[in-house]
Amino acid sequence: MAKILIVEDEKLLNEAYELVLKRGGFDVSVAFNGEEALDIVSQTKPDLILLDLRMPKMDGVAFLQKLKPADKYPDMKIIVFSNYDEQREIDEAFKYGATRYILKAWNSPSELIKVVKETLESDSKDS
Amino acid sequence: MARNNTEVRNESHDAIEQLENQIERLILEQRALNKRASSLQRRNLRLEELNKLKNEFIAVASHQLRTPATGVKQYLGLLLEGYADALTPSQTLFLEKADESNNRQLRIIDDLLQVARIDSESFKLHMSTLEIKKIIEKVVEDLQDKLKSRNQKIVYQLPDKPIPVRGDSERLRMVFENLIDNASNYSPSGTTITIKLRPSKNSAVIEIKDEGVGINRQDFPKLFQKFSRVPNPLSVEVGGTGLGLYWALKIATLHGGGIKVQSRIDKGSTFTVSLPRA
Repeated sequence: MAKILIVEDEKLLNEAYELVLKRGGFDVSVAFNGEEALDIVSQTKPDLILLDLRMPKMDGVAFLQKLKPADKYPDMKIIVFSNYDEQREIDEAFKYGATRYILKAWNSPSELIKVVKETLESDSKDS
Repeated sequence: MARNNTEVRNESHDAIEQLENQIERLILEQRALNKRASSLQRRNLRLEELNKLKNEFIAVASHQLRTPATGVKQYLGLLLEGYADALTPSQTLFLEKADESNNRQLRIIDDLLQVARIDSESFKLHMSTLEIKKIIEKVVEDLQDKLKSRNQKIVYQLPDKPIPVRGDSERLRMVFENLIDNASNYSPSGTTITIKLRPSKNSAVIEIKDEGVGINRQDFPKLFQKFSRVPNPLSVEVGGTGLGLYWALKIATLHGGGIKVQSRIDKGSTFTVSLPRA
């Protein structure tokens, strides 16, 4: 069972994603900011992280900078799931190790499952 | 009769005085003009600043609006996709309508953000050499469900050889999505949308022709204005912000191309995009 970590500060969305991914057959853990997420990653080593960018305490990019996925977790997939689609933020996320960048507003539960499965199955990173 | 010296001297004196007055007046006018110019310059800078603030405000407000709409989308999705108890047909129908309405809100937010972005100084295109045919085929593929539900057909008229252009693939994809989506929205079901791609001297020309409600000639200039919507029998049903064509024309223009429209009421419209060849 693939392990997924949801990092999302909006409780409403965090709960919805948890329900959907658990129902989708994944082993799910949740965090509400980058700091919590770093702790969980070191304990559970998830296969995939669903990562929001703008969060209190430690935002998504700062989390990626600390996590250093390319060096420490080369097989870990990271889907940035953000409502901000400014080019600068997209570039930064990829620079620090994101696998995909998706505008979360348009994703229904079934689309979320689809994106997660596709990403877990993919070998390479988005350009 | 010869005039005496005193008369001549007096006249010269008067002329000099007049000139001096004139010069003084001109200097005063010049000063006033300089003052006015610098005041206009200051006002211009202030307007530029306000415009920038307006764009920033639209961007921040739109992003903030996306969050609650994302929650609505997720939870409606949970209900519609069976994560809760089974729904009756009318419950499903009402939830689908709520989802449709929320999607419309998300589209408005997307449009506002696109326009705020293109109007900002930092906007730039990411250029590469592209094959327009591929971009259009991808747009049609993405719109396939909608076209099918409206029983509308796409007919291609393509040249034998590809016509490469220099362009921003994502932005051009959005331009064609906007135009083909409009062609579908403003045409009755069962009609055909013809997409023709042809080379001209220095450009690639893409025509999107529908069999829809058409546009009055006097409304042509309004079509490409920001927040302007031209009333027609389908405009209320379609909704929209009146930003799509403004944005599309701006993108085409930034590429060094343009968009033209030809239309007749009840006969349909043709939007012609031209883009410089690579």
